[in-house]
Amino acid sequence: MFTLLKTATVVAVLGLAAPAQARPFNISITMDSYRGQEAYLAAYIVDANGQYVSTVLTAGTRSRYLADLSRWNRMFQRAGGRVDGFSGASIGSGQSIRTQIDVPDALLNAGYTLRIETAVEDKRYQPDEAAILLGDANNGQPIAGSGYVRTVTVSY
Amino acid sequence: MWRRLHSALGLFALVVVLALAVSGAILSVYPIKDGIAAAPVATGQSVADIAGPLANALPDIESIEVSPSGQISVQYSDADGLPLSGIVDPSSGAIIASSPEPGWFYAGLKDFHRGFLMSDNGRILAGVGALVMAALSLSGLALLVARTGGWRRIFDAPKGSFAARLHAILTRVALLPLLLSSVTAVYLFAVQFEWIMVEDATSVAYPESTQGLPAVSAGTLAGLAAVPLQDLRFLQFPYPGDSYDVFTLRTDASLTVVDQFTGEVLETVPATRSERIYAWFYALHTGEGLAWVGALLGLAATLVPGIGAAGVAIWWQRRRQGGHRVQGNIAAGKAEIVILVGSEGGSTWGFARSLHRDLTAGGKAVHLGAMNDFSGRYGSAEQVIFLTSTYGDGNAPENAAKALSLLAEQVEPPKWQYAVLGFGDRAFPKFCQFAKNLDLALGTRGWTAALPVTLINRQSTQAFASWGNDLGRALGLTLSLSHQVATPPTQRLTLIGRDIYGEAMQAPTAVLRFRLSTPPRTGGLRKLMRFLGAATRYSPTDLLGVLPPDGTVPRYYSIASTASDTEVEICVRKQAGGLCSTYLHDLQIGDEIDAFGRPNPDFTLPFRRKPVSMVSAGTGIAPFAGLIRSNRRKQALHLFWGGRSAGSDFLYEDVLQAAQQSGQLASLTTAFSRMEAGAYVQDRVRADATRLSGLLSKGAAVMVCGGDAMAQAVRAEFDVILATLGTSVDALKQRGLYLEDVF
Repeated sequence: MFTLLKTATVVAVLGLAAPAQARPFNISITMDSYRGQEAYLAAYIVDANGQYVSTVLTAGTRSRYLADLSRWNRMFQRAGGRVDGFSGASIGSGQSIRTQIDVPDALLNAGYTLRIETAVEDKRYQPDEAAILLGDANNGQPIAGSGYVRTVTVSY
Repeated sequence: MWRRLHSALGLFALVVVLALAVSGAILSVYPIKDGIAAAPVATGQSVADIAGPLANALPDIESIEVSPSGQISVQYSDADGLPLSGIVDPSSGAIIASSPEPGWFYAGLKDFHRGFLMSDNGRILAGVGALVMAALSLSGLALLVARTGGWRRIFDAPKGSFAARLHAILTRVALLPLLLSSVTAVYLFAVQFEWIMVEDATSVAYPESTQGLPAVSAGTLAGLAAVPLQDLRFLQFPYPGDSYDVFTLRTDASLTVVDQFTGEVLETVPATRSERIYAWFYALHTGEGLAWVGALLGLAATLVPGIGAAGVAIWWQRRRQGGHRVQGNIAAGKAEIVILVGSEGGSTWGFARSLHRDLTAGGKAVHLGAMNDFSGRYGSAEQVIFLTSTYGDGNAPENAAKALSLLAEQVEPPKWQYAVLGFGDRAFPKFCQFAKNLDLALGTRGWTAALPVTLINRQSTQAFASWGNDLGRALGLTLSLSHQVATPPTQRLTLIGRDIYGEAMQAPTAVLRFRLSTPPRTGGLRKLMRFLGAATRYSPTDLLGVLPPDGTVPRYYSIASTASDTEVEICVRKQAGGLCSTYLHDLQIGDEIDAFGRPNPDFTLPFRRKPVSMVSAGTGIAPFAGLIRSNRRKQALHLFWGGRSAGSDFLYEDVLQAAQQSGQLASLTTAFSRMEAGAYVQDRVRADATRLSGLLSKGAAVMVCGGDAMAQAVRAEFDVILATLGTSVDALKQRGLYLEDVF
């Protein structure tokens, strides 16, 4: 019906050594029109081997249900993170969310991927909602999600 | 206090609570349906027994979930990476159906129930609704206990108007389930808004699987084989290709982390206390996994619309009687006469206002106030008059609760005189008990009575007027009290039948039949209302209120005809000097009167098919004639009736004989006092003790209608009979099985 733009919190600083060069990344996620409650969403970066690097964004107001994003949650917990007390912006059907983070140049065109997972109450959890290879090829390109996300756009 | 809180909450939240109850009732059906649909799990099956086959069949398996109702589902992706889920047969570990997302109706209804299809604001509204429901249940329980006179008596047969009885009956059934529903809802609401924190058990270290080992089938892992399938809630498979990942297994009791290669249990975390409490509250509220509780709560919720509608009707009835403003009220310190009122429902205030008005008209300075406002500082008072009803088991009504203790503070006997007028209903066991107690208390404190305590049955305006005459004499002024109980709009009736009995006995009794002068409109709405039974003006055992020619105080006569919208029959005994009875006896065919129907809710057939013994004398036969004529179900009705002479005043002789032929009357026993070997109806009751005892032991009810003396004599006979059965008239009255209509 209408679109809300919200700025989300960056929930973790990239766990790398002090980057020589970094640039601001704009990440914008627009949800599909789906029937159901507000979504829970995690966006995080993994390396070329699929190893967890850092969480970029979470959305969903009740921290308890973030753990339902189980693929992300396991990696996040193995890296020492806890969802307790976390909360993000609410994001429902048709709404949008946008955030800005600083990403070191070393991650560009090097096989690092921004992965997105979503879950909606009483609906199928989407562990592979979207995966965007960080690099010039995808800069500014809207990438379609496979579940409740319509598009994800990364630009720098 | 409770009453005001209860009404205010109920009216305020009516729509919200109704919406929650109705949607909740429908939702309660789903767990029952799911419970029936779920295939049973065999004992001895382990988690590995289904994890193995499923993992072999589905390379991209994510998780296995067991719903509270016992349905097992599996989440996986197909070869194209499309996320799917399916329902699993526990015996074979095979997918038997794809698992559909909840239908739009269920999803929408659940959303509506939790938050009226709105986001957080809607959820807050629903949470407030739940809180109000809990408060209504508790204040309602407090009212019920106060009204019936104690915990032990809350299951006594309810009294009062149809709405009051309906409210009481439905509430008793639904109260505890509704309290459970609403308290659990308030908890879930608090959790939702994170006012109560629920922490799920989580692995602290999140251990990793052993590296460098070959992949094994999930079916062979010891950590999964050790857990019985019926305990499983959730099993998370390691992400495909992630060799560090582990199996995460949740049961009601704990979270277990299992190595994907060795099957070793790496960590066990017991379920947190908050998690267990949440699971219990959730199951109790939704019925998921506790379908029988859900069914009970759902059934109780279906009664809420009825409870709400009856509650509003009660509030409306009270409101119409209430309104405590008094015109020309004199300050308490300056009044010559102080009237103090103890009233629960408000009808006593009506009498008090009439008394205030007529005393003021007689030139007195009169103050009218509530009994709880008694102060003792009545400097100019000559008389203090108490008008009070009785609440429950002989207690003070709401606005007189403090009166006795306030009076106790008055040390010196006052210089003024007092009078107590009690209002009540003889059908209640403690008739006007509070008025009697008050009179006794005042007497022992040395107060001087201007008049003996007087008790008024069922708002009798005649008795009130007669007490007014006595009061006038005591005050030295002519006081003709007229109080008009608010009468509904009257209808004009035409006399169409008239039979006079008993003239030879100098006790003329007229059976009068009337028809509505203007036939009622027969529009669609009217037809519908008549079909629903809402438009029937005159029903047996109800009363016909007749306005005498002076148009002031209506007199009430039991209706002797079957339920009808247009015709009504009454029996009228001519009273010496009786204004209304003389007027009715003098009517000729075609004459018109003004009258209205009034329900007589405490004297109707009990809601059951057991036999009923009906005992009456004289015109007391009227309500029974109506019931017998309407008895198409042929319920066993046994009539005892007393008259003077079979040849002169045998009312309804033809009707009763025909009813006996058709089976609408099971037996007829008559007594005639002015005949040879004359007897009264109570003598027949005594003579028939064996038969009556048989009926009573089978659960028969007793209905008595007639004069006070006859009713007392009959009560004494029944007490003798009931004593042999180990019970009493009072015990039967409490169960609503001994009903009296006494005049």
